Amino acid sequence: MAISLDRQTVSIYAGAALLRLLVFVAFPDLSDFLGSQVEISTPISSFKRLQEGLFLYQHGLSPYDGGVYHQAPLLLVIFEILPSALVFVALDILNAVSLHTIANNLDIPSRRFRKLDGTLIAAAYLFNPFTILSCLGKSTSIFTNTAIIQAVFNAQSGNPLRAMFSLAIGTYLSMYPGLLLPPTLLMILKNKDQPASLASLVMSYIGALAALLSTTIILTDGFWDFLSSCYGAQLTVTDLTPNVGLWWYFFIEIFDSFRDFFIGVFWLHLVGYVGGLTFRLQSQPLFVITSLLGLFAIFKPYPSIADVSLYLGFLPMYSHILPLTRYTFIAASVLLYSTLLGPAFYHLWIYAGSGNANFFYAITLVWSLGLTILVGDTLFAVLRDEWEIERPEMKGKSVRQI
Amino acid sequence: MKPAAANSPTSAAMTTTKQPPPEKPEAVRLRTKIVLSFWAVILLLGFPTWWQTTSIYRADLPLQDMLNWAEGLNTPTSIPLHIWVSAPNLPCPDAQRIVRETQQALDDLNEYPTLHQRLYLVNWWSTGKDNKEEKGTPSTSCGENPSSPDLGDPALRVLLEPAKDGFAFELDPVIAKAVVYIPRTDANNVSKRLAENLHELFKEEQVAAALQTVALASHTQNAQAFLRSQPYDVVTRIEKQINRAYKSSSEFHLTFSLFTAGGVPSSWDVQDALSKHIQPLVQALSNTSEFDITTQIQLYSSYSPAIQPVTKEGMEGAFLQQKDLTAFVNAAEWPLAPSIGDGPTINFILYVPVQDEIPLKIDGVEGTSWLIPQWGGIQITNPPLQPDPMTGGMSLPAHLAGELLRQPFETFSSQLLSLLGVPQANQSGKLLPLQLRLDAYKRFSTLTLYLKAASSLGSLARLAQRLSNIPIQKHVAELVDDAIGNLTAAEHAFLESRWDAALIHSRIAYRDSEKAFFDKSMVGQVYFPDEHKVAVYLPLLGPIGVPLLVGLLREIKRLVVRKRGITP
Repeated sequence: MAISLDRQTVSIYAGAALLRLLVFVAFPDLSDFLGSQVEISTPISSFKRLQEGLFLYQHGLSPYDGGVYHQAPLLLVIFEILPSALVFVALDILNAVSLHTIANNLDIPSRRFRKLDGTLIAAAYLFNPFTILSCLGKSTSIFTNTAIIQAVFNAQSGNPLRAMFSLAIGTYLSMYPGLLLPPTLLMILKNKDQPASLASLVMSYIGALAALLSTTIILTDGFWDFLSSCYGAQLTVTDLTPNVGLWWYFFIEIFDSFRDFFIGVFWLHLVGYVGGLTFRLQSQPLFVITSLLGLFAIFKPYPSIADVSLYLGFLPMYSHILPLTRYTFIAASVLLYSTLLGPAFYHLWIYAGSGNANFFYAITLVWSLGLTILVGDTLFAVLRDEWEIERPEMKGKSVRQI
Repeated sequence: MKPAAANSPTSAAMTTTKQPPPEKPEAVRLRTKIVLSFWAVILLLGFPTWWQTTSIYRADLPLQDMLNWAEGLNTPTSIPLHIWVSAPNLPCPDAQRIVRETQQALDDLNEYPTLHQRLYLVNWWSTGKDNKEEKGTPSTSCGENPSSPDLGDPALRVLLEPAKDGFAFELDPVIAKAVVYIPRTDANNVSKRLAENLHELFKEEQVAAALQTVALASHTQNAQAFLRSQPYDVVTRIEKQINRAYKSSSEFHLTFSLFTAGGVPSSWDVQDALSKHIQPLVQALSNTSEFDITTQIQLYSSYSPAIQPVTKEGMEGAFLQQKDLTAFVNAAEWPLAPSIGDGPTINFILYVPVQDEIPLKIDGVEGTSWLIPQWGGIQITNPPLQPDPMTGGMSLPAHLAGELLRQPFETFSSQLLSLLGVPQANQSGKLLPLQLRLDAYKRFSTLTLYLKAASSLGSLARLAQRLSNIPIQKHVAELVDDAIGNLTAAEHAFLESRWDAALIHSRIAYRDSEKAFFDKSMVGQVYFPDEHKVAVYLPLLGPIGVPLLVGLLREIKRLVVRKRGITP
């Protein structure tokens, strides 16, 4: 990772790290408070639940006893050895460095595209309030985020095996990154520097995933316990704790006999985007990944603001399409509005008792709507950009969908 | 949104009047691929998911069998009641003749086959001979051996004794035993009178059984004919008795509560009272049902505020109006659990009024206790006032001692029996021996559980036939099989008059059939008509299905057009 260490870069990284460490040391209560916010920690990414699992694990019991812990056992090993605050800060810095390098090496075939300054991309990630809050709230989604960023980074820089391994880690930790396999493969295959065959890549991905899964047998006794608590909880959405996503309210309300069917529908809805987007945006696999991350942050079973922070980490690399977007103001204000009202309505519902579940659910709908506008709008802008490359004479003319 | 986003640029056109340029072939191919990728997900993953998650599992139920049980096609043709007769001091031929003739007389008196008395000459007396010093001739071993398996459980043991003077039929005051004195002369009349006595003894039980059969089974011509042949007032009295009682259950909870309107009395010797008056009954009933007992004391718990007791000139204390008695229970404030666990709760309330109202009585009635059908019993007690060492005045005792509880708990024990449906005094007002009454209750409860189990199997079968879209889980089918097996076993036990076995099987059959009928997996679907499915699928068909379908149709149209363009 060749990054020129000028004064600006160093101060950004040092500032971000200091800010986080300072809060961890000076306000330990704040970290606990953030860790219990539903917007930050979900049943599958809560640090509190991880500590519960860690306690059981350290006392020689299965971490999945008690049905609280729904995360991968490898995380237990990491937190058994390392202090948690340092791990979270280090991962955030690592993510920023990777994004920095990706941005530096990025070249998009568009006339609007100007060479990116990686430092700014890193700063946008590090000082994004969503990133800071999810780091301080110790959301373990950050491990998945790191795995995804590493996969992209290695795919771009011509390390196909490492990319596959990173993606396998992401899949092992929280399953949904497996859906990023097609665009990542596309990205590797488009990279002409290092020829690699599709079959060997897929095999290496499957091999890495199998190896990671088999570590579970060494770490804990119950392999099936692990499968059912870690992946079963995501597949069947057993824990309906409120979060910013769309699933919990729906599955509280749905008729029991249709529950299984709609779990299938919701998951297939996620799967459905992968093929279409990958085909349509073949020339820009990074944007496929970015848009998919945005869609996952809206539609996956237990989303949190950590997922949005990952999406917003990649999105600034497409700042050149900003002139082509149409609704960024609306999207930005809707996101701001729901960010502020979300916790307020949750407080009204749970603590003050003067609101009900619909208050919070309505605001999560608005939040998802804001993200949807953002994803749709950027997608439109990129397609428009592509079209202008194809037909330069149309630049600046308004379009109509038929 | 998906296809729109995918299609928009390729099919985008200018706002000017110029026609858009033709699409490039690669763009067309790309669009085909995109449409196909969406449809591949739907066809390869979506349809299997839909098939798998919405298919309804229906285990095979023996529907015809279940309906047969409910219709009463499998019910035993007769449920005999065995009576053992022993005559150690009579010549064997005489005894045999009396038994035969009495049986004939009994058959003439009554043709209803349920609980029909059947006499057996059994040599049961010899077993008890050692304790009782027998005089006269040594008993000839006349009759069958009591351990013979055909004999079942006796409902009554009759001892025939020769007598000098007239015929007498004497029931033992506690156990189910009768001694009959047979005069040497007038032998014909003896059989008839014995038959009449026996018939009288079990007639009410038969009426109760017939009433229950009419209420719960579907083929009841026999029972209805029998009821019509009985005097109307007897039938209505027994019907009232049945209605007052709780429905038969294998578990009951008894709650004894002391409610005091003021702060005293605040304790009672309830354990003593329970072990003296209630426990023996519970013990005796324990083979029919399980009972658990809870007690509580609540201070400052007055009766419903709606009730205003009246005072009368020249009489101390207060009087409750008779019409107010039903509203006496202060449902809003008295913590009486509606039900604990599986079985129903029977409430017994001992109420101590405030000092001003003592003695609290009921206007126009002697007693101070009454019974609320299928709920429990209430008893007002007016404890004697004691001099208060602090103030010097008179006040209520702080503790209700055992002596004060004797009368209320005697009332409670008789209330318990009548709330359970144990027969009380018979027509002539004579109280039958306790053993006979408890046995009668056991038989009644066995029959009720048996009929109820059969009828709920029938309901389940009709439900399964009517609603073709409710799931039937495997364990429901297992419960049904189990219930049918137990019903069959109970039926055999009925035919052999083995009541203990019949009770056990009926209880299991009842429990299993109820569990099967109220199974959670079915109940949810019962109220889910097919029309609602449209509402569930509509969001899928509308916003997601339409764009996908339109995309697919366009592609197909394009392919067809191209083929036509090439072939001619």
